[in-house]
Amino acid sequence: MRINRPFYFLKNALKGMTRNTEMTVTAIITVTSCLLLFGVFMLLSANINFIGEQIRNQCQIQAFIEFDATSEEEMLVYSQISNLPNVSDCTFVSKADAMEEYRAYLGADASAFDGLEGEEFLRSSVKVNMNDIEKSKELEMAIAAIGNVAKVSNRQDVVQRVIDVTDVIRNASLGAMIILLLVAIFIISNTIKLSVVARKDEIHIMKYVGATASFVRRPFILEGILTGVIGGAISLVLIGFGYTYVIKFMKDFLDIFQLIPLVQILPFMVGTTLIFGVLMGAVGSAIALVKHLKV
Amino acid sequence: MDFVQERTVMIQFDNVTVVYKNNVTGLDKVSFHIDKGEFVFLVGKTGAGKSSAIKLLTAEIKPFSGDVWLDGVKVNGLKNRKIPFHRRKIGVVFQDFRLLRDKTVYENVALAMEIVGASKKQIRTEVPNILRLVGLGQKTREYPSSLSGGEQQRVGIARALVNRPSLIIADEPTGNLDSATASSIMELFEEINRQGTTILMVTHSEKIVNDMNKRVIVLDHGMLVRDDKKGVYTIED
Ligand SMILES: Nc1ncnc2c1ncn2[C@@H]1O[C@H](COP(=O)(O)OP(=O)(O)O)[C@@H](O)[C@H]1O
Ligand SMILES: [Mg+2]
Repeated sequence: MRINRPFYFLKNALKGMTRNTEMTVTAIITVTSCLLLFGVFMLLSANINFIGEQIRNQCQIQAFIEFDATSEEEMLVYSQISNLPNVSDCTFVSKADAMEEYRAYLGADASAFDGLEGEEFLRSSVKVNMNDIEKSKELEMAIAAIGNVAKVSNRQDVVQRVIDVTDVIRNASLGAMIILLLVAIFIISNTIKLSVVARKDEIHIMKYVGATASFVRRPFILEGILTGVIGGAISLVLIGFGYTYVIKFMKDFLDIFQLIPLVQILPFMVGTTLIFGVLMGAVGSAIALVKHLKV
Repeated sequence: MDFVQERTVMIQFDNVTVVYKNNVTGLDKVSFHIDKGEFVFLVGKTGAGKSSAIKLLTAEIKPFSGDVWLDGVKVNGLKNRKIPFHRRKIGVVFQDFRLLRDKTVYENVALAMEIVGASKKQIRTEVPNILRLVGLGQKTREYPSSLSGGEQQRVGIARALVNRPSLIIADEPTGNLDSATASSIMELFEEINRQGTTILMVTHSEKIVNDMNKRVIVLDHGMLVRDDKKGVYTIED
């Protein structure tokens, strides 16, 4: 069969979609929901890896030294920490250094602290990198036991909690996605079945006139694929807006790590989502054709 | 099969038996042949096996034993993907016309050409030609619902003819028409036959068979019971 009239197939596919609008819309909504969850899953997975990299490059534990410790005592704390197992390297942060960091963090608002050295209200500290992040709890306790250590902050805790939560969301979205995938394929195959039934007479004529199997099937496959692609496109738009909002939210309220910028991950998302949409549509219509269209 | 047969035979049934599920026999050791250019009636009571014979030719069913030949090709030996191309050699006309109601006369006929991959240009010249031939030159833009039964069957015939098949199979083409209309449709078939197309027609109409005075093959309980060169319609009970 020559593929010399693509519009013939497109026209028939569109006719099929508009013949039973309610079913088509239902199918598109299901595909959209499924691919939306697929997008959430993909974004969470990608970002968990991305954040993991950041954690490894980040100072994990910070030991704050008693306010009134002398500089000899501070140095003792530093050397005791550097001798602990699992410490890869550590840096001493003086009160003045801390003030610098604070100013840098405040940026434009830093002028309010002009003339202050930090000694009045900031603690000196030791930033500790470790070899094995899994054993950060043990290291944290060992550091806390050292004299003149006022308190130990371990961001790894927060990070791990966030990762645990995202893991749960990720697995839940994967599970829901698989269920919706099956539902979507089922609904697509049902819409295609209705299209086949509506064109029963035409298919019968086509068979007698000598239409090849692929010629008869092509508009229906195309109809399924279009449903998948439209669902995919809608879900991509929603994911685009949603992710932009999440990035902004993270920056404003939960600035512990960065998320992958949208532009960086967009081509990958568009590719996978559309491929998924096309496959869902094709599989859905293939099932309908195997069951309801004997050529 | 000898040389002469190969050149002139359109249809050949060699000892053909059709068995359906539940062991129902559709055809029972049937043998006959039809030459190119012949006009043959296939008659018999309901259940005699007429449709089975037609379905063998269009490769909808396969014989349990024996062989079916069409224009030198063994139909029951065709691979599935060859069957559509085989069907393009046959034009089928139905008792109930089988026109698509949401398409015009022109579009109904054009569909047959679109399906076989004809170009737009071919379609634009060929469809009006065929519609003129069947006497519907003025009705190309009408929908089937606004046509009489006879006119609808003419559209059906045009659709069967448009791809220039070498064989027309008509399954009770006048079964739904009054006798005056039926005669005019039969005249059209005769004209088509005169131009060289082989015609195999299933009918129940005694009048038509007797009027036409063509070859008649009679089936009964799946068996070929008569084959008359210039036949008249007689089915013994
Ligand atoms: N699909 C089928 N399944 C089972 N039996 C069938 C089927 N088609 C036809 N038959 C049987 O085969 C016999 C011949 O039928 P058919 O060829 O349709 O006869 P006709 O067209 O002369 O009425 C009948 O007994 C009929 O009941
Ligand atoms: Mg019959």
